[in-house]
Amino acid sequence: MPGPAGDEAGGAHPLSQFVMKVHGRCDLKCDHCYVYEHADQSWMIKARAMSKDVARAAARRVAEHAARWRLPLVRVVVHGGEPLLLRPAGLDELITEIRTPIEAVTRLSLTMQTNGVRFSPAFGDVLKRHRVRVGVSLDGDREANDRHRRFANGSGSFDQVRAALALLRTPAYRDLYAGLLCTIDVRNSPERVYEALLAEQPPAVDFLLPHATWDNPPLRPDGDATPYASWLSVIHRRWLADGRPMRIRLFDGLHSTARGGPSGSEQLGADTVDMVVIETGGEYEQADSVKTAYDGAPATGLSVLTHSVDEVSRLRPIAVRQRGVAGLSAVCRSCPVVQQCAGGLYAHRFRSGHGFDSPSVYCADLRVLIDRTNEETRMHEADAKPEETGPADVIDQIASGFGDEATIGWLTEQERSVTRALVAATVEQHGETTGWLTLTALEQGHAGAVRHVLAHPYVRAWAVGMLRTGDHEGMPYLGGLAAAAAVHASVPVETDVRIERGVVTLPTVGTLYWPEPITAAARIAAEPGELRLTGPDGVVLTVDLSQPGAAAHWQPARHIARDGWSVRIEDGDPARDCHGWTPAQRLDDHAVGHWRDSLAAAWRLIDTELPEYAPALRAGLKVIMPLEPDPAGRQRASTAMDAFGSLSAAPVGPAELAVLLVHEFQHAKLGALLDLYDLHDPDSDARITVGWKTESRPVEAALQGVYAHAAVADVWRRRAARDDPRAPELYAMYHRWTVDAIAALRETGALTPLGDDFVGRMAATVASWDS
Amino acid sequence: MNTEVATPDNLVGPLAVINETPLREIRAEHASRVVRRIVDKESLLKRLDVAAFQSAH
Ligand code: SF4
Repeated sequence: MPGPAGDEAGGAHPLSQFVMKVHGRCDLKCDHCYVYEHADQSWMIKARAMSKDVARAAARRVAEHAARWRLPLVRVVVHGGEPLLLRPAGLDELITEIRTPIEAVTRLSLTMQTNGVRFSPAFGDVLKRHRVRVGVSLDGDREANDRHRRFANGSGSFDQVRAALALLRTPAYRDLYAGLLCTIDVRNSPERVYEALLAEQPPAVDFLLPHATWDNPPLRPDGDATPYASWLSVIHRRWLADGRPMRIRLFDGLHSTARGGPSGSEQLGADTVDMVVIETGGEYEQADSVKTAYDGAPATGLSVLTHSVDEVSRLRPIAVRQRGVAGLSAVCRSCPVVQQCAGGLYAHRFRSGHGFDSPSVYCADLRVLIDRTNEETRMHEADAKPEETGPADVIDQIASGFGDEATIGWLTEQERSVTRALVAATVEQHGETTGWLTLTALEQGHAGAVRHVLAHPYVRAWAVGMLRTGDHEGMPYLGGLAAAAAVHASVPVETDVRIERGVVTLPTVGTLYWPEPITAAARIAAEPGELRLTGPDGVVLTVDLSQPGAAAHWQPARHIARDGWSVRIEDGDPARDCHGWTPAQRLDDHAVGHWRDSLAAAWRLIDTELPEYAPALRAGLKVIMPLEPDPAGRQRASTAMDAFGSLSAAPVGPAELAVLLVHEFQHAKLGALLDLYDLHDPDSDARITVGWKTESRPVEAALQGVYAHAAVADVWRRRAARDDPRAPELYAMYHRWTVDAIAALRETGALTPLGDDFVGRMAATVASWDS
Repeated sequence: MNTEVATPDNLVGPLAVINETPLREIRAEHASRVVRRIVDKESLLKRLDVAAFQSAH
């Protein structure tokens, strides 16, 4: 037996994760459940559900602890039993009680673990309002899941859980979907389990080894000494071969610990476990999995009604979990994989007479699994093409402030893949349309034409709009893409489109203008050399594509090109309205001439004054989207993160335009990088005071601002060298803004190691200017 | 017990697969990974939608 749970092990320390048991019963009767079916039977004497008073007391204890330790973030897992046994109104009340005191002192991340059986829109709405992410338990395909996850009457829960997951995947609730929790049974087929989990499109999957101890060892059929390693390895290989389509926490953790990073889980790795459970009646307990050890194992004897979290943190069984590898058995401490395994899950180490001072009962499996996973990963990475992790210097290239053509070309390719995926997802969400069928049919023989059209920056902006709403009205946009691709491929097609406020856009080809600003269904026929748009009342607009000029109802795409630079003016596509300012309407020739002159002069300035910025701009900037001028005459320009390759601006003279192009394209480059990699903790809501705005900025906005303003500082530094009289003062201002914001960003602690590296390189570039 | 702490995510692997796949054959699970990172960022993951410049004068 371990020492009495009430043993004190020294000083208090911070705990940041709290599992709150809001309901003590469950509507399933799974035979592998650690709450009801294992040694600890204390559930029988515990409160059925957490009362509001207990929830309030618990939250106050957590808040008081968070304030004392200045915790930047507290994680609360709403757990059971089955939390959805509280009705939506009850859950709403309880979560409100939990949130109020904690959010008054720190940030709160809320998740819920549920069997999903009762999940409904009413629950979804409550959880959405409180921003609670939902993890659902599913053990695999029907056979695997229903082997254990059954109702008291013996019937399986598979259909109910799948219905819940289907609801969680709808646009209304997709944000809530945290992932799946799958308990392993080696009698299940690993391939079928993997496929069934994958089919639910979870953001993440966690595999749990079934609870076992040295007193109650796990099932090991057929005399295989390491069946759990074998079972998981099948899935690991398949997952690597599939391109890691979902996150699997166990494998992500092993990949991370193999490189010396954190495991992100208490199952493996030496991350400190700073977690405590709060039971329905307010009792503090250790991790639930300890229930598997012996009756009363997790009890601490303390309660939120009478004790602070600090007092719990001093208890030996809680404190020992903070010690990482140093707190493990002698066998584990001398084990070659101890940094990756760290004795496995605490509960699995229990052995009568030795307490938890042993290796895991899964020791043999863990050894083999870790070695094999490392080896399989090495082999996979050696075989993989270099693109799969990105060019080694992509971060360096962008952090330097510039980026060569190859780097920007690579980022552009990634952005195109993003667009392809999003377009496919709109069809998954809204169903196939004639435009989609035409587009995909064209792709078979004319992939280049389809690629060209999908490279239009606003395709992604359109797709994001479609995926954020349940409204499928905008789907005929795909017909415009198909017609445009057909024009490029000189192939006849006919498909549905939509006249949107008088406009039908054929991205990269041109824009059709209906005589009235109506929104209505229409049909387009693209013949080689001709377009025919048939709208309401059978009215037909015809375009002779062999004639280069514009007409009242037709504006061919306009390109401006010079000295290796080339952009298209986009003044037709309704999806371009994503820049935060009003787009200019169709430009006349005079206005386009103005852009032509300004751009040509601005490009010359960039080529001569700022040549390092030119390659990236030339390779990446493909579209200018003119804006309505500011009524007060101020400059306006913006970059939409969902439209890589495009930049919006109000008309402006060449010198200003050169700075705007450089400044805005910095945003585009960094935006594309942030699409791919985490440079900061997306959950962080740290705010940073910056020179260029009066209000403080979130981390990503500050990072973007620093990156773009550093470039502007660089512009004025170079102009100072050319004796521009305004330059010294402007350089000093932008330089100070940049340096101060870099320091502030570093202080937030919200940067990932990659983000730290990025900011460090940026700081080095800026520092090099002073010398 | 599921008390996850996120390890940094990246999209490069899934995108490499998508890049080589015809539109029709893009698998829902690959696309949904992109959707989560790119689209579902408003409420839970704070991403910048637009970076705008407006001169002060
Ligand atoms: S593999 Fe076994 S000995 Fe090594 S750390 Fe894990 S449990 Fe301990």
